Amino acid sequence: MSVTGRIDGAAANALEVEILAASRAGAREIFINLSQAEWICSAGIRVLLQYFRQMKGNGKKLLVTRPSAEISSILEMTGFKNLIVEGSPPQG
Amino acid sequence: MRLRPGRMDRLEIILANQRTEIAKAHQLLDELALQVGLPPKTCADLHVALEEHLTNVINYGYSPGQAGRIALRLDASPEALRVEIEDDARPFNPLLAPPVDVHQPLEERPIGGLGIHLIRKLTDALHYEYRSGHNVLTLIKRLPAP
Repeated sequence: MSVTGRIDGAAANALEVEILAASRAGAREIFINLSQAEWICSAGIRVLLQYFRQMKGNGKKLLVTRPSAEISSILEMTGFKNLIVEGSPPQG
Repeated sequence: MRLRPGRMDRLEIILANQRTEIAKAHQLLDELALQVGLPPKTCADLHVALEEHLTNVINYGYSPGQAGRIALRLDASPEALRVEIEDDARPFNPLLAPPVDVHQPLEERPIGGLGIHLIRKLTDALHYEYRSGHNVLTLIKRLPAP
């Protein structure tokens, strides 16, 4: 799945709904492409962290791929760069 | 369009204490960004800082059902952008929040406290004041030299 534009509080809620749907549909791996995302707020980071943990706890995987430069910088400054797939460099 | 030296651009809006109002704050920042030609990175950093602070004020500052009023003022000079957020929520100085340990493993990181951490990281200076019964948080973001 991918998220474009601004990941504000409302977009974070929408992202959670989408992740839950994928998870309930039996997805073992969820990759979230953030190459076209402008920025992410803490509510968005919390959704990523919560489902990263939940999926990992069930032997599954949720990670961010191709983060935009701003997303990459925000995840780095909050100590969440491990949410990004290894070898997926910042875009743009 | 770049700022001309000495020119000052100022925008102001009053918001109600509802989450749906935050979109108006983002629109105001977009308007200023367009007027003064803010670099996209500066603009994105400020959008996040605004989102975090307004969300905190609206979610935690008021009693259930209490109507509140939040003033947002944006001032651009050639050197810096100044964002002032004044609210009539209960007194709260966000600058006293304890720092977040960003080096803890992801499995152990607490889920809260990230908002103020982001505001600190994304701005160059922060100032809090309780003035005439209102919380006033001022965020300063330096602008790169043209």
